[in-house]
Amino acid sequence: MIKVNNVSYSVGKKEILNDVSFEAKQGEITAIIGANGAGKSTLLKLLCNEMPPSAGQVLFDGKGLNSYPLKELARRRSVLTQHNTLSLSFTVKELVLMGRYPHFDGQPTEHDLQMVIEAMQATGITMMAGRTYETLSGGEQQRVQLARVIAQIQDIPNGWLLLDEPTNGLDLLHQQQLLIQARAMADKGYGVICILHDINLAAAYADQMLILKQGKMQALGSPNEVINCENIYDAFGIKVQLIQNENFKCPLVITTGIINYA
Amino acid sequence: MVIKNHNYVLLGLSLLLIMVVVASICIGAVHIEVSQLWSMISYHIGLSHKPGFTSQQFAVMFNLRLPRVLSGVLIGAALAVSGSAIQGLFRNPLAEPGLIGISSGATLFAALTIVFGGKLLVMVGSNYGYYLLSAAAFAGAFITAWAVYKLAMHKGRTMITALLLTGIAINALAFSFTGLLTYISTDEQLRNLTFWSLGSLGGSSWISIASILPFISIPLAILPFMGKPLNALALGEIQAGHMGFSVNKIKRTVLILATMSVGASVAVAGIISFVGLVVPHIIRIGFGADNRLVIPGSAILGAAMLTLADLVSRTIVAPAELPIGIVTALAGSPVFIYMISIQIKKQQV
Repeated sequence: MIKVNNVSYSVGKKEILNDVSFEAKQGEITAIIGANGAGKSTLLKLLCNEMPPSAGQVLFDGKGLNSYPLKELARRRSVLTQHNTLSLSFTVKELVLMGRYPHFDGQPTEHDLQMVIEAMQATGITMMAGRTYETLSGGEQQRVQLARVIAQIQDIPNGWLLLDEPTNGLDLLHQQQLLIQARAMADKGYGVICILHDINLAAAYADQMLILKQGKMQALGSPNEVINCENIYDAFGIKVQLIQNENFKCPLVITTGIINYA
Repeated sequence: MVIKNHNYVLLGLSLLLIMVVVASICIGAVHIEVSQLWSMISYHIGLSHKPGFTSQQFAVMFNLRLPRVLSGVLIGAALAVSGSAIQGLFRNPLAEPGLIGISSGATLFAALTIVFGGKLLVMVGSNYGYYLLSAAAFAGAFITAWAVYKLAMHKGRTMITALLLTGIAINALAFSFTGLLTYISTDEQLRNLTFWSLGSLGGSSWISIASILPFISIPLAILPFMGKPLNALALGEIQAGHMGFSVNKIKRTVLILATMSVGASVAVAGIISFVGLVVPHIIRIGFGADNRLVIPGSAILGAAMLTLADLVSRTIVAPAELPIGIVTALAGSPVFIYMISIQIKKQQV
């Protein structure tokens, strides 16, 4: 379980996160949504120990994040950041193998190579294995990065997957496939925390949703509890309608017009 | 599989190195047949009791050729391995100790030591003098590398323009200071200074080898193990952190070890440019960018290339000798220009 206790984060006088508390459990997908600049990425950075919170604490499986050695943390959780650039031209396979780096010294074992193959299958990039990363399209690159992140915790049954806008650059099919993949991993016992922009996508797959607004918690709960016209209007400044559809457990959100640009 | 490929590549490069070493020992003003070289080895390890060579040949081999070839091997490996590691650290294939001013920093400190070290260095040729020179060159290399890193890295990204411009500035600064030193140096010191700015393996001796061995063997032993962390660093500093690597530790280790070997090379052979640029580039073109192969592969290929370059430099205008820096620059500059044009196409400059 990742437990966030009254976490705040500020840069100088500017408060980016203010008193955020929630719990994310293994076996569940926790989706974080909110307008641009609401503090979503900052929150994820605090969760993966990229920087310490200004106040409050983050407990990772019962212990403070800081008490974990870097290597151990890397063996238990992997992180997909928003901007991934690569300075040297690696092949897809070499890049996915990097996900196994926390697990082997020197040369990868057969098991590590097997994990790489499985992660490439899971993300549908097996046929690109020998190509160099820079020759891929943006969406393909994103899937390769995702495969690397999955390979890192593939054999850790209660591992964590922290994803910052993983659907960036993906087409409709691959967006769905990514969330199906995340769902399958959560069902196997992994914990997934995911920043998403598409509210309907988040609501369809998440067990828990957190809406952030200007660094504060706007709403927290199951998609059905959280998704309503008021919450969306407050968080995004846009009027929406809810539409029930028998294929979705949670009503679909469609926009009806921009009311408040500020 | 990937692993086996790496081993085959390293084996192939090692065979190439052995061939170049044998050729370099045998070719020269005093010719030695390969069979005679073998005879020298078997005679001295007691396999055979009949020397199939003249004592003059043996003296040339042992006192002149062997130390020179070994220097070429050590310095070539040192320059190429530090070049590949520094490229990993700066996350740019154009970062080369010579271009970004690290070698100049080392030269400047070595020059200062020669001129002002005065009584400390009565004999540069003595073991003690070489150690002091190596240490000074290491200090110069490290300070410059650190300064360049601070200036050119911004938010975890290398600004390649800043990197190369800093290199130009530091090269110019070190050049002018070294020039100033020539005015106040004695004739003896002047000869030493000139030798430094050209780059040559001509001064190789068993003593110089002994003095650089620790400075070069430690980086050669450790840097090949930095392949994994440097690969991770290619993804970005934050990403490397998420993968369990301490980015500060990687930076420290690579900077210290790479400047150590560059410093030692400069101390005994002066500035030999482009080896650290061209050799890793050849490995990347041939076998991919995986630093787990690029770093050890560069060490072996660098050793072979510099030994070969030295063979060319001392035979092509025989009985005179070209400074080896001229040979490496002639071969290296076109590759460098080609690499820049590639980067411009990718709009990464």
